[in-house]
Amino acid sequence: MNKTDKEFLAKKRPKKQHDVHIKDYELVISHYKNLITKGKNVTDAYLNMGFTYLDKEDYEEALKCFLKLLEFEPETPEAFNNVGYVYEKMDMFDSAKKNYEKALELNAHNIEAVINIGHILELQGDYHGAVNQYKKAIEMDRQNDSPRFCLAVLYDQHDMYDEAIDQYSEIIRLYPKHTKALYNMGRINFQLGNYSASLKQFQNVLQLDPDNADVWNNMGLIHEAKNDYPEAVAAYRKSLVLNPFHEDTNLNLANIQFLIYQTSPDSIKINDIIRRLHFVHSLNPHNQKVEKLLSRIEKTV
Amino acid sequence: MYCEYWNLHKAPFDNVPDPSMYANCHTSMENVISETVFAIKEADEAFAVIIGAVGSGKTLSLRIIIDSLDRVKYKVVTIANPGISFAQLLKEIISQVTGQPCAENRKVHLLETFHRLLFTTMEQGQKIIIFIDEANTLSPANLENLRLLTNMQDDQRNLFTLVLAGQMELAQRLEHPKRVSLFQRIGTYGRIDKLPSELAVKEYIETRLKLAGTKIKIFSDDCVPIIWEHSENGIPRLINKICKLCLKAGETNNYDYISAGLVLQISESFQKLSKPAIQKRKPRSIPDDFEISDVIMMDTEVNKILPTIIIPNKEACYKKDEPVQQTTAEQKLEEITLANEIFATELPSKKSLLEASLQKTIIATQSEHENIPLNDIITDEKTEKEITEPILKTTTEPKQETILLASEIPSTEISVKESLLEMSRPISIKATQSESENTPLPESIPDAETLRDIAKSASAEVSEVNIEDNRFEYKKHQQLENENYDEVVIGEYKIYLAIPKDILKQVKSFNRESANKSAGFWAAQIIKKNPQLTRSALVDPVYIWNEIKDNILKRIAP
Repeated sequence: MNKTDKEFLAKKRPKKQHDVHIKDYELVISHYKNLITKGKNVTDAYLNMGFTYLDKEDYEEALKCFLKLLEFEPETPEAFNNVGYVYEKMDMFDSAKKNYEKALELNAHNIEAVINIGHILELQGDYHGAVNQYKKAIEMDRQNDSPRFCLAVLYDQHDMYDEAIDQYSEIIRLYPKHTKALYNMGRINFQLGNYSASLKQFQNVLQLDPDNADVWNNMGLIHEAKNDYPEAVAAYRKSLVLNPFHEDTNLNLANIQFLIYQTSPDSIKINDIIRRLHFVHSLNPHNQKVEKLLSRIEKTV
Repeated sequence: MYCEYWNLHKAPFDNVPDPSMYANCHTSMENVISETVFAIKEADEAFAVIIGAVGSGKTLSLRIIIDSLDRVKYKVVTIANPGISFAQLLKEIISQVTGQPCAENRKVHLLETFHRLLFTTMEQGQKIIIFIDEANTLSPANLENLRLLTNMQDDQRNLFTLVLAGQMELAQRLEHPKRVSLFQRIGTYGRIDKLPSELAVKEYIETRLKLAGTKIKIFSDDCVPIIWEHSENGIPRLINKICKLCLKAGETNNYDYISAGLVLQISESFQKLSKPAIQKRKPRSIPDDFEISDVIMMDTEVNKILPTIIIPNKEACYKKDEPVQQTTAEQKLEEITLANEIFATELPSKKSLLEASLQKTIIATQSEHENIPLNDIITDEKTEKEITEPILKTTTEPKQETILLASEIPSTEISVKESLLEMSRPISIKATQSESENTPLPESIPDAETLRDIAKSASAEVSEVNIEDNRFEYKKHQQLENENYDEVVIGEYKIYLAIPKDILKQVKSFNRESANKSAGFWAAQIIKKNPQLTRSALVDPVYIWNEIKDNILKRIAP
């Protein structure tokens, strides 16, 4: 971005998020169109205009900009990566993949293109193909957390726990403050019943991201699994302070309160539990877990 | 590795496509695979459909079918996400067949190209097979377009076969009387069901374990009913997950076999977990200083939950930028405890609470306001005084004070001022009538879906939040005449509930339970779209929701 652009955007760029309106896009776009008409910094203008259209989610126009850019820079892998990215956003996966492959042809070491191809394969349901691409990207740069994290999440989503743990562990070794890796490790350890390890990982996440409602919810689950109900309730409440609409937490809180009610009915009002469940049901009428718990309560009370 | 522990030569329950682990006790899946392969290879059908619930094995079936096709004879096209325009769909198909990006954009030209390709491919001795996964996301228009596409066949044979795989919604669409012409063209219509019984689940588990090389019984018989229940009655993906976790836990704990107790413990815990955190996709090479994207994207996110706030003049800068929760959960809980203690003993005057809270130093964790010029937010002393005055005058309503405990405890200087300003201005939430005319009257007691739609339409109308104070007269909207208008006080907030008459008329025809549900949906929408109502850490939103719901209920079902 050149100086003129910076000055222009400094003037036009909204200072606060609520000031952003559709007109701001138009202003920025018309600025770049003006530059193109005048023949000034044409490639930069197309690039930035493409990104503006991307922000605007006008993918057809973004594609036109990036394709135009390709005419100016046909040997630049990044240009093909950008075109591929727009196709990906348009759900045209094969076209996206072809552009990423073109980027890779131009530069066999373009790790971004390899990751992008892996992502497309993942979207196309080709699990093994995606794994191979991510592994290839990791080999290209072993210090880069990006392909490793993609691979770890792919394993995680397919319940390949050991493989996911290996990748997350390596990421955490390289980047001890990688909150997402720590969080996902905590999740897996919880699923495997390694509660101490899980708790430790979630506590680490909280040190880095204290306002994470999901983490408090998961810590509640750990305490609940260890039959430490007071701690579990406290964790759920902390989660709800951060996000009062957290469906899972509201449900988990109602569930544990019902467990407490069953052993000590005077300690909690059953109507409060029912009200919370109705609240969750109002937020999401399709939540079947709520219906199940409500029916259990009805049977019991 | 748990495989070694259990003497298995491969993992039996991995949730990844692996045709070698295919358990032939899943009869419906077996049938679908063989019928579809037959439709492609032998019957030369134009259309084949595979229906199945999430996790039932559709993708694995497609993989098995695709793998069975000889690539010399067939050109395979796979579309994994068909929720795109028809032109884009055609471009994608053409580009996969040719192996080249398709530059054409016009539908008519794309159709011509596709038609030509069908013949050239046939001349090369190949047939095009198009697999569309997640076909339930196809738009009705695209379904019709695909039907028309199948007209492109020659007199002797079909030039291509289209295989649609999707969830139950696809079946509903295809079986709709409107689409009878499409339905009639379907040569093979297969449905992959869940495993039909506990016995089938038992067989499935044992088959997979045998394929992995075990010779001993690992899962006790009493595990099966629990796996059946927690796999939503036979969804293979969930069965795999439960069994794998059990095998791993068995290894960790040195168990000789998997008991029902372990299965129950594992099944109950994993279902409560949220999904893994994922990496956000970003385009390559965004210029380092090109920040507008972040700003605009944030705005889009915020607008999803914030109501439109109409403020007539410069005071906009206070309200538009809704202060976010700026304390940590620990700090907020401290506040709750503090507030509860105060409330349990005696209610001090609002002024003393305010003074106490102002002395409290809490470090803000949110940096959102850092870039905002100070002048935009902090008023001069005089203005501040003006803002504070009304609060000090309204300290006599105990009910309101309990709510006010929340908003009074400021976390930063900024939010002190905002909360002061806020308290001086009751918020009125007014429903307008915009789309209500289009809401159909229910013929009978509505189902949950209808209720949700009505609640949506009603709540969508709760879109204007006017901030009024002593200085601003509340301007009544013209449409108010057509609305049943009421004023409700929730804590410190005055909520103007205006239910359009036609909506009211509809809802009044409901029975008590349906009205209750409707009011609940509506109340949830109101508090979701007006986060200022639940911003306080001291107020449980469930109670606010309940209070709003009860007020709505009083009016719709008196």
